[in-house]
Amino acid sequence: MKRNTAVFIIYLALMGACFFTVTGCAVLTTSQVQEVKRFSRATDGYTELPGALARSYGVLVRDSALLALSRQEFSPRDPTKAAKAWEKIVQAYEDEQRLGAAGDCLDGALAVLRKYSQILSQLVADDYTNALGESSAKLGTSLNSAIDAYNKNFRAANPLPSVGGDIAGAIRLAGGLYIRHRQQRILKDTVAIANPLIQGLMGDVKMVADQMAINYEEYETTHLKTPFKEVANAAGQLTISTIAAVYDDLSRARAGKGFAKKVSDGATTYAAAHQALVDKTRQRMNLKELIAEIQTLQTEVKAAQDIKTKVDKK
Amino acid sequence: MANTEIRKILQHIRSAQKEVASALDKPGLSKPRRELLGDTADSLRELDDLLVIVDLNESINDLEEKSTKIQAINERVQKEINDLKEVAQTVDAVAKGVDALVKAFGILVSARLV
Repeated sequence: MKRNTAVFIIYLALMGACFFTVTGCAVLTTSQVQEVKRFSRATDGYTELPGALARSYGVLVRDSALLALSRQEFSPRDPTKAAKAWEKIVQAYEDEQRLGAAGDCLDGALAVLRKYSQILSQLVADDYTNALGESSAKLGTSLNSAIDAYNKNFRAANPLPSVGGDIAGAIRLAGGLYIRHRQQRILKDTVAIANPLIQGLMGDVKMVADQMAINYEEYETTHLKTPFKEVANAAGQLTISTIAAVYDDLSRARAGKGFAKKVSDGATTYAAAHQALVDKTRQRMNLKELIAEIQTLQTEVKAAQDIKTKVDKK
Repeated sequence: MANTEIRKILQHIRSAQKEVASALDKPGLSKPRRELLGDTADSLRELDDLLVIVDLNESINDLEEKSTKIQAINERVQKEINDLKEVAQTVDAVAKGVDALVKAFGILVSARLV
């Protein structure tokens, strides 16, 4: 390693070390980035599940209303029965629509979590330091061009050294550490502020899912078994289409109960994953986290050194 | 009406539905009695459906309130992310400024003004 390169690395390392040991500024560490990615992966797709619970129940509610209607006897001597039956068909349609709309509202309310997860991933991305690397390289090259032009015209005998690479490296390091510090600070503040809301939101989702599990379970007895038996008793003999429709709804109700339990468990997992993220972003507590910060510094110094090498080669 | 109250009423309605169902299971019911019990079961089921919808809508109101607050957090973080992008953009602007100076210097030299 050339002497000036070694001096440059030591200078960068000292500059970086001063940044977060003297000022006490924490920087975003790889393990925090990993935790955000883990949270994002674990929660991806979850937000659409609670809405499906309501929509699927809407189909069941419609079917049980239509099944109950099929036990009715009609006669032109009493047209009010047909009129009431029509009203019940309309009511079945409206109930299905309302539950569908409730499902859409649940999706809408939870869609904000998907955006939240995306924003956290965007926040901890390398894009800003990478962009800074490119900008500092450009600046270093521009400075070297300026120095070359000056030397050529005014200091041909005693030229000024090309320090563009050193300056670019220093800017990359200082800017990189500043960005990593800002990322850590924003992440820490954001997850801390959002945590009570997310815990509350997931508590609400769990409550909805637990109640829907009960609704699906009760449906089998109150909405399916009783009307089915009444239709069978009234008809004397059932068509395969009636039996198949009841079978499908039985299957849907049982699947719905299992699905509701999974959504409920998912809400617990979601809340726990966010809590883990909050814990991970709190002020450094132990040696392991200090080491992680030093590793971040090493990465930033290496990036700064690369920029210097890149600029010096031009 | 709060969710807990709605759910208590739902429990009562479901108990009543089960009572009606077990009454319907008894053999030898007269046709008018069976029809009456059947209609009662239908009415209870409709009430059950209505309460499930009301209960869900109550929960959605609570969810939407929290969701709006998280949306505000998302918007604030998005602004801060834009500020992070500006760090590189500022360095980029300085690099462009130096480039412009070098070009201007070149023009002045070629015009023998410096």
